[in-house]
Amino acid sequence: MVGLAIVIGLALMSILAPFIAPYDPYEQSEDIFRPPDAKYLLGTDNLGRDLLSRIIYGGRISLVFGLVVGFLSLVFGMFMGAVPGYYGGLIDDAFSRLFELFLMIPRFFLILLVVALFGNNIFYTMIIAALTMWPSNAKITRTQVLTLKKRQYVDAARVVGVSNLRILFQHILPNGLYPVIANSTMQMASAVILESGLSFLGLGDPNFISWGQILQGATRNITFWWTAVFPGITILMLALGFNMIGNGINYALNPRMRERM
Amino acid sequence: MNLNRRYIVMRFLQMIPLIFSVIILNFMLIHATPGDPARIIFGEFMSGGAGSGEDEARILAAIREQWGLNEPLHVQLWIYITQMLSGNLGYSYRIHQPVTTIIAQRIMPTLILIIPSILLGMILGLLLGVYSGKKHPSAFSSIVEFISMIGYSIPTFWLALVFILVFSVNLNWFPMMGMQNPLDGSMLDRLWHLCLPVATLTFGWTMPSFMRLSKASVIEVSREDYVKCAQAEGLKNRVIFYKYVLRNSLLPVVTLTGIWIGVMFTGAIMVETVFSWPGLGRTMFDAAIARDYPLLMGVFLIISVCVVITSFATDIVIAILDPRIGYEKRYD
Repeated sequence: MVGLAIVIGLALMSILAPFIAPYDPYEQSEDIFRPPDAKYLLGTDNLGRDLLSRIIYGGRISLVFGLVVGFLSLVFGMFMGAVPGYYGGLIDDAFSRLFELFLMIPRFFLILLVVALFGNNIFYTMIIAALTMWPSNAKITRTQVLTLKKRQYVDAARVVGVSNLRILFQHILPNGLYPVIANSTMQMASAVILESGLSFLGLGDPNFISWGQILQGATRNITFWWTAVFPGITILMLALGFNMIGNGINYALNPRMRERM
Repeated sequence: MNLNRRYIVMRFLQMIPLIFSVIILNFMLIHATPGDPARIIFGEFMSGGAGSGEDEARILAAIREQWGLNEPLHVQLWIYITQMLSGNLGYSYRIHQPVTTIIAQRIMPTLILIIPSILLGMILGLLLGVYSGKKHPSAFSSIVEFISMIGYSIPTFWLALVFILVFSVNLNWFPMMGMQNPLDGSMLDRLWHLCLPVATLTFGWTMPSFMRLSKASVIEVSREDYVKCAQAEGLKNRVIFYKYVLRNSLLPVVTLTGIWIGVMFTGAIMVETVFSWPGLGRTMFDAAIARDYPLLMGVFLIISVCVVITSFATDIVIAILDPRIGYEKRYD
């Protein structure tokens, strides 16, 4: 619940950015490297830009990245997991091999490679990130479908004559949704950290302000601590928010966790 | 036992097509990029090393010859696969060394960083995780849970920056960067330089993961029916815990350790970049910035293959430790 509050809070902040940011995040001034004070709430960076505004705007890209990648991974993973789970047999084996292959690929390195080869367009990065994340969702969905397809209501539906596809989408998937959602939210957290890491290394999309980007500038001027500390706190908070949501869902699903030994 | 053994062999055999798939993936990446594949193999950088345009043309022609780029695609694929399997991962024209040499030279500092972090993280994480699992639900376990959540929500490079800020710049307890002081170089000095990076990796990565996993695992196993059965039969809780719960809950932890090689390299890149640590992660970063494709792809391939191998090795270890694995399919 707390996690939800955090994420929604940050989302609101991003959406309302143009209204609440005190300064234009790109506007440079002469007040270089001022520590936090009354005029610039979080201080300024090396070009005199207000840090608070930059952080507020930077939230947009992190949030979008996290949500999009998580969502893509969720949808694609669910579909790719439901099919082998339901139909079983050879399809199941084939898909499982596929999952393994994708799971083995080191995500960050692949993105590094792709960015070097194709450029640092954020769309490519999002797609590659989602491509490496969906197998875990697929695995979970598959397990869920395997368990659920043995339930009585599935047999009942089949007897009545409901088509296989409909059974899958109307009965099985909605019931098996929760663990995948939990996993996806945690993937969103990973995605946020991934994006900030890439921007930090300078491989993010230079067209957008990003928290990692701000931190990159901070590394060279480490004595001006405010540029290093605050963007990181926001990254932490967003990732934590997503993780808390996922954790909360898992906790609610698993009544065994609440028992005393 | 027959079934179990068959499972192990099968897993071993499954490794091979996966390695092939990774090699093919690499190959596809080279050819999917817009531009001349010979250029890609050469790497795109503006260094003076390659010399004049004439030299470059010669090198490109030689590349075409070696990798058979004038042949049809399937022949190229075959050449590529044979080259990779025979150990030729490519040549970095920027650094003027074969990729394999570069990797061999630079992997040591990375390992020096990773291995203590894994060990420390394992010890601390397991201790805290298992104990909090035992005490669940309680204030202690909630606190541990929260700390581990913060731990894996925290961006590693930021933690590194914060550590530097607090411990190097302000308190001056530890050095800021590098592996050793060029004037000193003694073992003690190296250990001193090692502290902060390892601390970053441990607290930001390894420890939270082990903590969370072991806690969840202990809790899950504690709720199993056979534990309840043992309790009902009158076995002391402590005996149950150490003899049954602990052993069974450590299995997922083994899985985790195995999968981790790939992930650890990501963390290593971050830490190495911030601390100017001369390891493989930093090399990768430099290569990415400089568009040194052969090095990038060579390392990518090696790491992927390592991940495949360690992942399967872990599976096999687990199959040995847990005789139930391999029987499951029968009762589906």
